[in-house]
Amino acid sequence: MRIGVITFPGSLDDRDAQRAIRIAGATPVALWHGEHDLQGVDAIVLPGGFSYGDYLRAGAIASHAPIMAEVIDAANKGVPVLGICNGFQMLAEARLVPGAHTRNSHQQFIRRDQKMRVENTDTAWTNEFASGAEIIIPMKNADGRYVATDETIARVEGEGQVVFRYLDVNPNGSMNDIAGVSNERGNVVGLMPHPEHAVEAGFGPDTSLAMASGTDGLAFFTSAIRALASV
Amino acid sequence: MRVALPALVTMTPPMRARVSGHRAPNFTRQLFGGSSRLELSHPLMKSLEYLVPKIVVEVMPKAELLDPQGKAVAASLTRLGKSQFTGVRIGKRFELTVDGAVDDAVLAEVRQLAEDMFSNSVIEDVVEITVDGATVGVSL
Repeated sequence: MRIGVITFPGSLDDRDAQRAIRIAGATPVALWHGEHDLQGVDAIVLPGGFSYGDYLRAGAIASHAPIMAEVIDAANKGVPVLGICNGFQMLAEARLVPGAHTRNSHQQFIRRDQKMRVENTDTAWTNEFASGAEIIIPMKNADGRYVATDETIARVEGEGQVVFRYLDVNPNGSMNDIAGVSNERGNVVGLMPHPEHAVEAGFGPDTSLAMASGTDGLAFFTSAIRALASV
Repeated sequence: MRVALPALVTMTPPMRARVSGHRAPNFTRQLFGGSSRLELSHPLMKSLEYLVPKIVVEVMPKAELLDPQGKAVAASLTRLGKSQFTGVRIGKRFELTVDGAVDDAVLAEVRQLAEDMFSNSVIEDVVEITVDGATVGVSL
């Protein structure tokens, strides 16, 4: 099982995503934004960071990168695609998932271990979670406020495309506390928090059990592996 | 090479490229050796930049959306005691220069870019597109 991670100019968490894929049991494949080559990977991760310094709009310039033509094509064919943070912004800019992002409503960069509820466990990236699971995933962003038109919000809520919802605190003013959404088919998922930072005990978020012990992010990647195995 | 620039400056209005699209005026081409292409790198052109057609695209955050930047500036104005200003919204202005004529094809391209790249229709509106100050519309 080969899962590609695309590096853009300004990507920060591409190596972390590769590590998470490896820990989950798949083979990470480094992909480059400037090429038209997905190297035959089975799934794709758009990693976090600040591609192009967040110029224009976060993720906007990256969403027009050469390799995005292949990503959009693959996504439309059902290949699992996960967009994390800046990758989520790219997915929204590329119109692969509904909605958009603006500056956090409190205008500040945030970093916190965020509690979320998994609202949809039928997607390619969440099928290993128990329905309604409450998980803790680190997040860190400035432009994380999820917004969409009222019709779009109603549609994604109604169609089960809200995959993750913030619990306890809405960290950025996102509409309906939405932390992550999927496309209609459920193969493309984007979220602001960073599951790749919660895959190994000792290096994850704090939990009630022990410091840095959180590994709730691992199921994202094992879910993709399971989704691919069942195809 | 020294040219009497003031003389050129006084000729500005008739020289301005129009939407219908001429290139640079003929005598400018003569000035720079008959090339039909404006050489922007030429030092003289620094003074003649106004001759090159300039397309401006203006994008604003949607009125119904919170504009945190504008809100931050508005709060600062309040702190400065400038209470006559009741709101600030901050948008973006794109200035495009074109090598050659601004014809319908170029304008169509600009409108497409304005919708597809310069703005995100979920959160922003393209409020105006102008060529050398003349509004050429915002709709596709």
